[in-house]
Amino acid sequence: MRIKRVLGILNDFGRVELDHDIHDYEEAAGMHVSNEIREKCRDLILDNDTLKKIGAIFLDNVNRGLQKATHDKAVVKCFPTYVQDLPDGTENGKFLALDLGGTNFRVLLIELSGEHFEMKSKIFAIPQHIMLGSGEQLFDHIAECLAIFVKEEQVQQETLPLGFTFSFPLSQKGLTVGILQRWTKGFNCSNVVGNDVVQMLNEAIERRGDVKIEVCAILNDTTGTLMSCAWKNHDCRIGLIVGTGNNGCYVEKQGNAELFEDSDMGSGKVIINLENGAFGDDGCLDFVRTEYDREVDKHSINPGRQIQEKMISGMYMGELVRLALEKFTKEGLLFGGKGSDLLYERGRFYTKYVSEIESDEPGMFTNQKEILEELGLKHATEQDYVNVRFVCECVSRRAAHLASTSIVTLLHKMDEKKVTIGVDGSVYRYHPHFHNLMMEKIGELCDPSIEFGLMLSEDGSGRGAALVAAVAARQKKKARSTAT
Amino acid sequence: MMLTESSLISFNNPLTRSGNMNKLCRQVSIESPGPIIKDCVFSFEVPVPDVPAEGARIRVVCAGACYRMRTRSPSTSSVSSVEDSGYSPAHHGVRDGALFPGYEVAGVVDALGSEVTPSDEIKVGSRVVLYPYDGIPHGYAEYIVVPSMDFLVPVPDNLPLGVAAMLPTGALLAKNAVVTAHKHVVQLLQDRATDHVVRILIVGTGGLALWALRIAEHHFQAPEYGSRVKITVATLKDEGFMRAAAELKSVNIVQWNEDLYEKQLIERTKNACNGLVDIVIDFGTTSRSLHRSLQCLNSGGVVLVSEEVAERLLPKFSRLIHQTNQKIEPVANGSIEQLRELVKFVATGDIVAPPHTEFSADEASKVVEKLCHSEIPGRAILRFHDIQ
Repeated sequence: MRIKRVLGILNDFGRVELDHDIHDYEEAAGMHVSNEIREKCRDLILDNDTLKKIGAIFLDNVNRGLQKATHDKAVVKCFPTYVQDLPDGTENGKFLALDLGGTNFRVLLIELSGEHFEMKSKIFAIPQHIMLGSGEQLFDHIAECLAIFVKEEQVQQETLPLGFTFSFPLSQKGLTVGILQRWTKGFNCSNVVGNDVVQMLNEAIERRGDVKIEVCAILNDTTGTLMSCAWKNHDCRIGLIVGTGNNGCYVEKQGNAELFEDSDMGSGKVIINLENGAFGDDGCLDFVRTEYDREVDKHSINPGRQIQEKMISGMYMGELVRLALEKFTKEGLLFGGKGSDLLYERGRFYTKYVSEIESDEPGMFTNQKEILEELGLKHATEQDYVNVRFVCECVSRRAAHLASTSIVTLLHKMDEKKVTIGVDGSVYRYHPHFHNLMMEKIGELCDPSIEFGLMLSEDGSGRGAALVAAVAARQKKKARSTAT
Repeated sequence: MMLTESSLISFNNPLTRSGNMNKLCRQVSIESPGPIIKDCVFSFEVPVPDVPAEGARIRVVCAGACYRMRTRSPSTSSVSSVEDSGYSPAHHGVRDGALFPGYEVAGVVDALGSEVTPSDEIKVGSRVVLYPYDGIPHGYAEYIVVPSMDFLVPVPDNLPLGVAAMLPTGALLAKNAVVTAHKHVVQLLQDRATDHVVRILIVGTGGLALWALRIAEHHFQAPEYGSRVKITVATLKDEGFMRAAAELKSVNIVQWNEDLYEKQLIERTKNACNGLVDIVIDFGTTSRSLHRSLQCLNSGGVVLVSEEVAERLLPKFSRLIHQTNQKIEPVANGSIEQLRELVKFVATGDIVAPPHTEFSADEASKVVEKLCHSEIPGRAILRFHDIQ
């Protein structure tokens, strides 16, 4: 039974605020979460006052990231993307996208006409010896694959604008200038770190001489997420990714982005890549971090960094749950005190288990039984099922609420009355309740005069990149016609 | 029963029957891994068995690391049997097919039964592999008897016993899976359009799947299949396999990284296979793996699984596959004729054995633990004696 205690408190915006009691977390029809487990999970539940406090700290971090004087020490970096315009529906023509994020990369051809688009794509592999070879070899390989694709699509005679999604740490100096900071994901090509990857790609294309491709922009996946959504919904001003990682971007007044070093292209705005997974790296979130968060951080590849990401994203969510279950089992509160090797093995409770367990109908434990059997916990009782689900819900709700808090902060910061947030990432896509959890929490925390919506963004790193190129091409054409 | 390891017993006089009664030898038993891995490997001292009149006694040299499936005794109800087994198929290596139920022994003939006439192929000192017949004893003792010479297959001189030991369950089950898949391929090629490509997905990168891949490559290399059978392997974190598979350029590889959501894995697999597949050879052992295989499978398609997996999982899936018009088909361990064929092809190099690592039988417990975590590329072989 769902028990809800309602307190008629008027919040700062004159809206009646529901103080969700801990009972709200109970789902099972016939059984309740055991008192011990409920008590143990208190520090995973963030009430609205705490969330508002976190929001205020986040706003301070964003402002410090935007300002030149405080940027260097800020942990939320707020890098300008140099993308200054959103799609307005007038983009037409053919555009390429290149999505380089791992050992495979994709090339896409998108044709836009008004509100209609067609897309073709192809996946190419990057062999191990090229991942570890010279930078010139890498970009020659990419240029070769681009040429193969362009010829297959029989558009090699056309000059095609290209948007380049480059998912490695980058220092951007302009829309078409990206300095690689360091390689990740197993890449280690020589002579690329410290260099402009757009220039290297352009040079590789020129060395071929058989295709006409113009790199118009370099971007990351959050920018692509926003652009892809904005093409469908012109109110979109925020992009959010909750997947393996966590990051966001939003449209800011260019004058506020003090690190912006290029000339203003006219809109007076610029998309800011927040890098807000790093929120908390300076200790400002320590007052809400739990022992599980500290344990996850200690054993991660980057201890002390990406603190908010480690509380929200799918890379860590399953492990947070596992650590709680392990602790409760060893204290005799779960599974009769008897665990298994798999339950006690780091990384063995996958984030998808959280989604699958929460996908069971209330009172049913079909997926959970399978999962616990996989983990060697066939001896689980029905009370264990109820308790395990509760732990999963506490962790995933906290993630949704932290993500919502960041969104509300941005909504209040922007001078917009109607905003759509484009969201992507595996947690948002596949967790059965994440969208609704965020809608509910944003609704509670947000100024009611602001209208908002969450929209699943499609293929930000592919289509979004092509749209960035399309908008850049539109602006160039506009600039040329104005000069005439 | 003493849980202890005895020193090696040298036994040099096979004809002194009365002397056997007082001799002991070592036996290593591997049970199916339960929730706690360390609980499944045992070492005993057992009597050296007498030689059956029409059979032989084999001195075990190499044994493939397999576990014994705990059989359901007639007096035990199925529910309590399942509960008692503590079966936990989610260990990485079990799920992957690196560790599976079976019996794999290669060794040297130690003594022949009184009714047996030695032949050029099989006499005292001959190298043989043992076909796992019904009633085979449990555990790997240093000396094993067979009731009939029909269960022995001679090993050619150029085939190391460590490789031969892999054949009787792993390769044999994979062989029978490929033979079964072949029947479906023939049917599909007849029923479908002349340009239809039959898509086969092999799941798992442990010993079973590696064997299946090598045997399938050999089996379908004939010109009539060359462009009409396409094989994809779904791997699990086996780096060595990626290198080995690179040699087989006609094989697609898709990585089933367990960290990913099911929908992501299925989407990736469809991309790698260019659509849904017609046949899955699934050596995974979990509901999850089987469910995933079914979601990659065409309507009308078939998933081939071991008999043990079918017995355990078919009841759970029967309603689903009825709705989706799919089949789950058990594959029995192969026949002794298939084993003879395998010995021949592997000895000639027509089928290349997967990589394996040899360990002393004393290390069985550590080996099983590593296998459960898929830390051993390919197969693990327990060596009892230094005889090649």
